[in-house]
Amino acid sequence: MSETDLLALGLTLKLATGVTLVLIALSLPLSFFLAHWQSRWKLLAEALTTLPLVLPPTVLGYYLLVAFAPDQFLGQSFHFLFDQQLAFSFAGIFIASLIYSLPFALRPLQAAFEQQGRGLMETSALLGMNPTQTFFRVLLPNISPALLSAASLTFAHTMGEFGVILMIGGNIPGETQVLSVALFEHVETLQYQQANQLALTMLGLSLLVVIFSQWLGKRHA
Amino acid sequence: MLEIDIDISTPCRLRARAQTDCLITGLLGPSGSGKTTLLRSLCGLNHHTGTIELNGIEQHNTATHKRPVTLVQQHTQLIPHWTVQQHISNTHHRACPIDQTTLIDAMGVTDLLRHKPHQLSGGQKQRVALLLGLLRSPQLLLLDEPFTALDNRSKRQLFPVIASALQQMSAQALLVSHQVRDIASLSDRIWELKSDGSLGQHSVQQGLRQYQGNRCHDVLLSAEFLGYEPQYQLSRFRMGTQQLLVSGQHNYAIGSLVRLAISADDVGLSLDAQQGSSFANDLSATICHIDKDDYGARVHCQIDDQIIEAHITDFSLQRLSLESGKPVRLIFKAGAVDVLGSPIKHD
Repeated sequence: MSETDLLALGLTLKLATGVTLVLIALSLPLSFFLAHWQSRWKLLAEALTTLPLVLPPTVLGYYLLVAFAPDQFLGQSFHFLFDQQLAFSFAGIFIASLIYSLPFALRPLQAAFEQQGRGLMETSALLGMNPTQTFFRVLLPNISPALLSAASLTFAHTMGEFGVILMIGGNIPGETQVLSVALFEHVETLQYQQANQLALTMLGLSLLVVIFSQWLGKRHA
Repeated sequence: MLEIDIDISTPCRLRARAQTDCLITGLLGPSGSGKTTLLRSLCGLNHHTGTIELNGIEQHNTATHKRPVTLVQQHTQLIPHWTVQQHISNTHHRACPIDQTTLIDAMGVTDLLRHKPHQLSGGQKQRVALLLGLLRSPQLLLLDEPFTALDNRSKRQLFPVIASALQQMSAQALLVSHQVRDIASLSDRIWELKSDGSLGQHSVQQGLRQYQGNRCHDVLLSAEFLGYEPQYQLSRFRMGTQQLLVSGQHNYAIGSLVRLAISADDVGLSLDAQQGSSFANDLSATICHIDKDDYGARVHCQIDDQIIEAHITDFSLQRLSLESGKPVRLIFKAGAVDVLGSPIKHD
């Protein structure tokens, strides 16, 4: 594997790991809130958080590209804070991946909290445990299969991202060139051997994630 | 002392104003009258307005986990990934005068400590839930149909344990049960939720009479335990100057007061003392009044300061020319009397 391909592999793993960690941390409170929120706005909130699942990646990428532009609010604030532009940067594809993969983290967790109902929360409160203890010691361990499935789905989905990254990140080695983009470039430039290597790497990695999550799920059951 | 004055609007409308200082107060009412809703409001799981005072301290604005109140439900959901032991060690209790190990043993949970909820039967789950409720050492224990999966033997074993634990903790309990016998065994007072959403307060005898209406019903008595006669397998009790024979062995301290129940349908009346009869009990009493109902007459007979009712036909009523003030004999079998346990306290 060439040096740029290895760079792309490293970048992909870094992106997928980082996005998974941040998304799980964000989705836990958000999914818990959505599961127990009773309001007519709930439907809209659920629609918005599910939208990245059905929206064509290029459409999402296009709007992000516009928002990331240095004369737009998001692009401008980021530039002010970090003295760096968002479009065509790792930070840019990181933020885009957070939005793109959000439903994969949020949906399984919300479904698990909804299925869990209020019974456990009530039991826990009646035993005298405060809401924080209840969340971390009672509710969270009880949805761990959903947590694992959310994490592995998010990881795998972020790893395979292509359209959004191409729109907002371009193809900068070490910065925004992830495996799927590098693979596309090899095919474009007719380097089929390298393309083959990358495709196989992706296939193997994806298979590993699936096997790992299934093994964890079985072990838990 | 529990004093409530609360209004509840959902899921059903009720206005409850009552107070009780009894150890256990029974809560009776038709289905859908809001018994469960009231209990859930008292522990803060259901929204309500008004005041809930426990020993003079207002609880309304206190969160459930900080209230000295806990609830044991018919299907208390135990934490699936915890063993019974973990449930016990994670229960936050106030300074508790009861010895945990003794209570765990008395509630029959010692052998279940390593089990997880899915390994427990319905009855075992209810024992664990009751134990956790007591270990929380609340000032008010709310019991919502907590005995449905327990047989009579288990109940007979658990009732004294629950009552004495509450007594040691100086706690009170509110008990909802569709088994009137459970309420009759444990309660000293009855709150009756009416269908219009108001709450009536009665003594336990009066409350049971009211609730059971014209149906065959239990009459509660207090009697002094005199001892067990192994050769006949009979226990001997005393009411005033007269003795009562009851089937089965009962272990109370000699001389202690015990609560008994007898159904009005099991009591017969006679004008003379029985000579050749198999009825073990033949007590002299005086008729204090007679209620006519759809099936005949309920004759209220007084023995000292207690009332036993006999449910008889109009035919017998006329044949014996029964009327208020007339002396009669009450006859019933030893097996017709149930021994419920702790004595009735009058307030």
